[in-house]
Amino acid sequence: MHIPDNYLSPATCGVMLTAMAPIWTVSVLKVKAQIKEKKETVPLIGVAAALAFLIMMFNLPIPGGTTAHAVGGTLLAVLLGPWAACLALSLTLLLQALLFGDGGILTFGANAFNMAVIMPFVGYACYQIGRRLHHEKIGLAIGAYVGINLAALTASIELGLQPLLAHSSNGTPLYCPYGLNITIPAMLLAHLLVAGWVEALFSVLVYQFIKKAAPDTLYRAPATAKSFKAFYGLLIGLIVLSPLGLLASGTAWGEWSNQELTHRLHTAAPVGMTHGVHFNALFSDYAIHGLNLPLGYILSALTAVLIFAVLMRVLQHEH
Amino acid sequence: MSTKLPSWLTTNTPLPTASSRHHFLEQNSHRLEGLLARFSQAAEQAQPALKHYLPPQIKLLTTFGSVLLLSLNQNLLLLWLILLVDLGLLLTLPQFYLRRVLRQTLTTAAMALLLILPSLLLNANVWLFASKTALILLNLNYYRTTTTFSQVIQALQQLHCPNGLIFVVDITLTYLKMLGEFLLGFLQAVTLRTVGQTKHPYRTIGLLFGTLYLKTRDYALALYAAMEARGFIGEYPRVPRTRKPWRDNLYIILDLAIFGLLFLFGR
Repeated sequence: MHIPDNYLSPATCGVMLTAMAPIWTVSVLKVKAQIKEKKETVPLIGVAAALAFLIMMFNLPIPGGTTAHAVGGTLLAVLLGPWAACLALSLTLLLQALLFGDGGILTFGANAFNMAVIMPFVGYACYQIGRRLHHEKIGLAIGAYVGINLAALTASIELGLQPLLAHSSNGTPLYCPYGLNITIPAMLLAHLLVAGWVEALFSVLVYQFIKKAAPDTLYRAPATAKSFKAFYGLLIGLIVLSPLGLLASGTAWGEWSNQELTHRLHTAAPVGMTHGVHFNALFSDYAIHGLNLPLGYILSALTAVLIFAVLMRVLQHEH
Repeated sequence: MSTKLPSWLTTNTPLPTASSRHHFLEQNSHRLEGLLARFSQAAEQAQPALKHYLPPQIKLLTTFGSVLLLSLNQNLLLLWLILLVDLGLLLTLPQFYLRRVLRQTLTTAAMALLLILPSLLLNANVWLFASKTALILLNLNYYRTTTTFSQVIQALQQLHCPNGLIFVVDITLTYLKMLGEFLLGFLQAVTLRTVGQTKHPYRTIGLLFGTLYLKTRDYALALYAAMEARGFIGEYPRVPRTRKPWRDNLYIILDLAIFGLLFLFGR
């Protein structure tokens, strides 16, 4: 997944590096807070970067006789916390680019975004959901699988966009010659079928061992009561503000009805759409006949939130 | 008493072939040995001495600039000129390094070419892209082969990187060697002590990396204790710059002028 130099245009590399700057800044600030509690975090990031390097170097056997390597993004996020993992993985990627020939120098920002941000944060979020539902291992396995696949998807989008972004006057791509229709299936197929499973299995087995041998060393996120208060506040705010959508005129792009589509296309709507399945929802357009429209919006938002809350309660274990 | 040998001694029993499990452990041992060889001082001393004409920070900036220039420009003549400069630089290298740079470039360029080959079916004109990639790889491999770990740290220091970052990079490189040695020893021990096949080689891997992580924590704790014992309070001393700032500045001005001219020329 390490993108080499010349596969991304310098403009894309610049954008990705700029996108990484605030993430690294926040990571440093978060880790500084972590250091106040556990002072050994400073050297631990350096040593963990070395561990990440060895994980990426270690070839694991896969059925069929070939080998693949894990990245360990989700595992490191679970062991050290996502912010520290982001810094450790970025450091590993920097050294790999400068000294070991894995990944480019210019593409460092893009590689860091894919492997040091998407992977640990997505993986850690899945693990946290699993932990809340008292299925840590399943959460970690799903996190590792989804994390590496999302990172591969991001890398393939970055690569596949190049023919659109940078091409000569006769249309010849200047950088990665493959479009999205090739990069996405090529990258995702390999990760969905092989690398994702390797990553998930590797993460779970190492986690299982550490949890048995030294459970105290696992990262525990600081108390989140405050952040959850903010989250609930945000949720209520969004429910109240949901009728704001009514201010926008017209319909969303691609959500046209057959009549509107006919009007926009200036021809008849495609046959497949006119003769397709037509489902009439109970509360079509978030409204009930005879009810005030903004109130209908608020009720719809509240209903969705409550349905998801009930589903979460059903899935949760009893204490 | 019969002198005949028992039947089980007369039959040939084929030796059990190495299991795939052992194979992957050995494969990883070789890779680790290769990595550790880069840290080995004995191996470094066995190599011919390399004259460093450029200060490390200028070398890093020049490599970065060359890669950026190659990436930005689409002019064939400019690529040709850069190739000539690169060939001239290669000529100044001792044979040992020259072979290594060329071997690495050929291997990585072959891999890159393999990736590009299918695109020939879609678009016939990818040779510019392929030659640019090969040139970038040549520049990067030249840098990697002729630069030591300590020079990278020195370059980061001279480029005013925060001392905290340099400190962490330094720790990473030091502990990469220590953890690598630990993992290699562990792998060899596992290979020697395991007989037969297990159904789940991944269990061994879980044990290997779980132990390695715990070792990582031990190292970090011991390192922090040692740092505290030496009076570390979370501040890093400023590193003095090189003693010949005029020479560094001259190099930077020269670099900028050349890159600027080439960039304009290549537009």
